[in-house]
Amino acid sequence: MTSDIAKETPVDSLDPSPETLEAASPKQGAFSIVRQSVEGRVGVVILALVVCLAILGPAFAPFSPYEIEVGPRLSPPSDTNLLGTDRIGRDVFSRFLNGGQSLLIVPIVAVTIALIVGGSLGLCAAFYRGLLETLIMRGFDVMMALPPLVVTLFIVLTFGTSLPVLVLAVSFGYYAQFGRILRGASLNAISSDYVLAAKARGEGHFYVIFREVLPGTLTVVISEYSLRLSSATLVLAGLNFLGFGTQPPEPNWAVMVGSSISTLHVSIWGALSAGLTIAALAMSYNLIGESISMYNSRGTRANRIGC
Amino acid sequence: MTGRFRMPPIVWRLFVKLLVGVMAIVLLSILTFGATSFRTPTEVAKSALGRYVDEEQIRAFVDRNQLDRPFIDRYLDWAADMVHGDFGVSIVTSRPISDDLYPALGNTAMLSGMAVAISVPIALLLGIWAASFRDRVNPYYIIVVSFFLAIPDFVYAIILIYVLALGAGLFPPQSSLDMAFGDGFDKLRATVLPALALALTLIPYLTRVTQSALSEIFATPYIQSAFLRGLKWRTIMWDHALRNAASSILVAIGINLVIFMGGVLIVENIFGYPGLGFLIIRSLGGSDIAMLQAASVIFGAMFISINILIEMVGNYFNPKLRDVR
Repeated sequence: MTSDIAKETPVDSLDPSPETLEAASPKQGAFSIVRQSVEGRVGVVILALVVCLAILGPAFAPFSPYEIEVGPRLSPPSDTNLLGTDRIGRDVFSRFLNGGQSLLIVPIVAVTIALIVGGSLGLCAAFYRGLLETLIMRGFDVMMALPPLVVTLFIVLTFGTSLPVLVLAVSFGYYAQFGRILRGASLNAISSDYVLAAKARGEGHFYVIFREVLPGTLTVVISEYSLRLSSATLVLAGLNFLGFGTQPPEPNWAVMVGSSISTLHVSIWGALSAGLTIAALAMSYNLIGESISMYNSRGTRANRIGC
Repeated sequence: MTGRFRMPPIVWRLFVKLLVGVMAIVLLSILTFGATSFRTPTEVAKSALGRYVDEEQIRAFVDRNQLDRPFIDRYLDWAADMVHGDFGVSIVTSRPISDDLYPALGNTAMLSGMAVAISVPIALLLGIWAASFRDRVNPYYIIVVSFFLAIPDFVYAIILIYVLALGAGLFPPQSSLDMAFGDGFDKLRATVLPALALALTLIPYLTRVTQSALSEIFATPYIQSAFLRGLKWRTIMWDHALRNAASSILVAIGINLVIFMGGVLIVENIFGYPGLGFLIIRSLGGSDIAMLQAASVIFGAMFISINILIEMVGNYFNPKLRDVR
């Protein structure tokens, strides 16, 4: 879902002046790139808020998320139960404050694994070319053609819903994408003069890959990582919602929405706050990724629509 | 990409696409079959017959369904039957699987069709609108689109249920299984809400794709010269820009069809809409293995084929588009 909105444009009046952008060196840190744009700043602030909510939330919960009958069952929002109570009388607000951790951590682990595995394959494809590249890229094609959610369902079905399985299942959809991105980005770097110079100096493969090629792909990778994180959060939420992953007594935002469907006539607020917090989390990753990807695509004609 | 002999690139590309598609379907079927055949014959028999059965019955069941044969043999038999359109009999309901599968396939097709019919015109208009008045980046546009993109499909669904079904009472909150899901008008009425939920997840995404493709076209000298020649805005938009953007839009839709697919699975389950996604989750819960295998392979194959189709139409619009990435 990256796009090149920014590329042809004189920069927006709200952004720093074009001169500052031009002055930014290729080695500029990702955070300072994010900070330069409005959407990047908004993304960082929202992300910080959601992370605080997920980490500090449990400390402020008025009740235990597991304690039943803290109020009348299925009551609408009131002073004691800010978001009402659920079917067995648990405090929805306390469950909301406690329900964010897995949605925060699992996608990060999953996408990181996909980045390391898929990225290494893509890098190898770009570096060694030839038959290896064809094999890897065709493999990626097949993986891309598989519907991730169905495959993810089967992984969960076969190996159960333990945490490592869930992480692998969520990561499945991203190996091929990271592989393609890293291949593309490192092909650019490899064809450049500084890599040629390093090769001519007689540097080893290891040195060329890690010291010359990878640093050049860093901003592309970070933006892609952030965008994939957004989609992985939504995939995990979907899985949780369907009943895979976090199991009932544990509080979880997506599960909260799922279990509220049959009790919507009482109150939508619990489900809505949980659902919109998931949206805020996914949105913040997306904005951070977008701001870096716009920075990357300024001045280039890379045709990267969609995906 | 080619060796010594040269094929027309478009034919080559089509061939590779088809090959990859077929391989993906085969892989999907292996995965499906593998995932569902992991349990021992005894466990399968127990989940089909109930927990309290004696050894004799289990052995009879295993014999009857030939569960003790090697994995490869069973897979090949199953795949061969499947290719011939024979999905077998469900062990849970004892009815032929095709009896449940084909209506579900039809329902999913209807749901997806309605969602696309609602979202595409709206998204095209929004995308054109977003692309037309901007020659610079508007961060607030990105923030708004990102927000709507990030809302999970199930959140759209509960809002719709709350507002349109429970609040206004326009539509049934559940499409519901066999009883309420009648014929003609009832069926249509029960489809509207899930289709709207799907459409709402599609619209921000399609808008984004349309706008981004159009902005790219608008930056080309070709369009700028059309403006300089004094052509009408409408002419430029329809004859120059949209026609050129069509292939990028289609390709982007094809690549991201998987988003839509996950949406179908989730939305059908929220509304109890009797389509393939609902069938998959229901047979998962009821350990109806044969049904699960058939439904997921058909579901996957359906989307893989649509994906290939979209890419081909996209290529038709833009013959230059040979090696995307």
